[in-house]
Amino acid sequence: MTGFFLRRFTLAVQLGLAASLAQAADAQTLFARMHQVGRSLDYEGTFVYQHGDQLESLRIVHKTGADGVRERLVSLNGAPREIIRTDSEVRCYLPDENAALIEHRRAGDRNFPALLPDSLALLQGNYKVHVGKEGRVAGRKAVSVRIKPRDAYRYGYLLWADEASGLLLKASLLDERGVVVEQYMFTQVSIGKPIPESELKPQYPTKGIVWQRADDETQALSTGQWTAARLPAGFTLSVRTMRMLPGRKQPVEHLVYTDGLAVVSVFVEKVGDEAKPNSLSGLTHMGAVHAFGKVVDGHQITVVGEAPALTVDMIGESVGPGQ
Amino acid sequence: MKEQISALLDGEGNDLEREHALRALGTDPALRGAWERYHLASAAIRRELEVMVSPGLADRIHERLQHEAQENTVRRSLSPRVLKFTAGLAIAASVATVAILNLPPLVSPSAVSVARNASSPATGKSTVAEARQTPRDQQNALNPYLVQHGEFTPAAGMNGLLSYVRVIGRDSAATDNANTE
Repeated sequence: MTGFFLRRFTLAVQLGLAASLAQAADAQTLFARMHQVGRSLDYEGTFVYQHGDQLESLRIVHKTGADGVRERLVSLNGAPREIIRTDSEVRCYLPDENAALIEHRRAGDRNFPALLPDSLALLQGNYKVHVGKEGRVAGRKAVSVRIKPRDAYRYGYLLWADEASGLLLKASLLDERGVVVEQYMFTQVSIGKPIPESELKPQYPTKGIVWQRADDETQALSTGQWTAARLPAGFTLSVRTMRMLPGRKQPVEHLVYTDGLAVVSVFVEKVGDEAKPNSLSGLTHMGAVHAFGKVVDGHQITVVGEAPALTVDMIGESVGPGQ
Repeated sequence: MKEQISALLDGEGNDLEREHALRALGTDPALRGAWERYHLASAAIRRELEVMVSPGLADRIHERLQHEAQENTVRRSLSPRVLKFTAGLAIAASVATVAILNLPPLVSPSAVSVARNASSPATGKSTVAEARQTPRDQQNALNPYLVQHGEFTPAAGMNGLLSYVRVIGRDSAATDNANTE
């Protein structure tokens, strides 16, 4: 079946079909495959991550099996940080901070605003999607998808997917002027080969490290009435949840706003007894991520998202206790 | 002909030669390519590459003018010969303007910022304050939020793992420096 879709997709690219309907169908097929590859395929490789004038090199290992998907992400330069993710938790080792964060994951994929085929229609309200050209990334044949925002409230994306498997090989995030804000690109990748168990173990000694563990599921906690009064067109509240974050004694309310692709998270927590240094204030950025912080009614508001300053600023400034 | 183009670029030659060169630029795509390459070389020598226009500018101007010329044809039913002449003049004028201004106006920072402001949707504020780089201590404080946020990020493939890259793959310059100190 995959082969059929791929042939159809490739043929469409070759014919250079400009009709938007055909484009949508092909983009949908490609998105479906890109999503599926994360659930069904083993791969490992090295990729570079560029943001601003910084260039980082990372290694990724992705293994599927009876116990679900397991992934390991390691930084190859600078501090030897790594992340190991399973279906049930995310472990984040930060030796330079002498800390490890453990975050419980939500069950399954159900609530995710993932790039599922169904969401393409939603996407098209806010973005123009074009299946583009054929090219080559990490020595493999690749096809491009250009996702252009319809306004300045979201980034654009230029994606290159492996033609044979659908794996994302290169991704560029572009600002409203079309300037690249962040890029990821595989320089070497091996797809479909067996991956030894040892590849999924943390590489660095964890002795003496401070574990910051999020308490167990906190579904029973009631959520508050905090809300962002102003949202850019196309953004809606997709999830409202109460979580225990690693290293926090108090629960944190988490609101997730999305336009189908861009995601902005709003965190609300009491400014309380526990000394929490470095609380964010004002608007800052790390690569494509903008972060915003302020205090309202004795609550610290923290907003993060892979979205332009305009969007994070608008959402952050408008967060309040609601009705 | 290329000598004349080069002379035009250097502001040399008499009126007749300049007119000849401009007319040739309007009709010959290869010459327009050469014109851009000369400009690029000249800018590189003067270390002014940051204000270089994107490749193909002359061709785009030419296409645009032709397109407009065609519309004019439909509207006014001018004779093709007159049209060609008019279009040729317009191209020459455009290219000459670019030559006189030596290109910067198209990509100068002021032009970019004006364009940016113009493209910003109304927010109540005229523009958003420029976001500064997140200070390093605050980056660490943001990690738990970014990890949690990553759970909801589609990141257009790789099922959100890319969002964690920001937690572990950043600020290597600072850590590299720390390593060598």
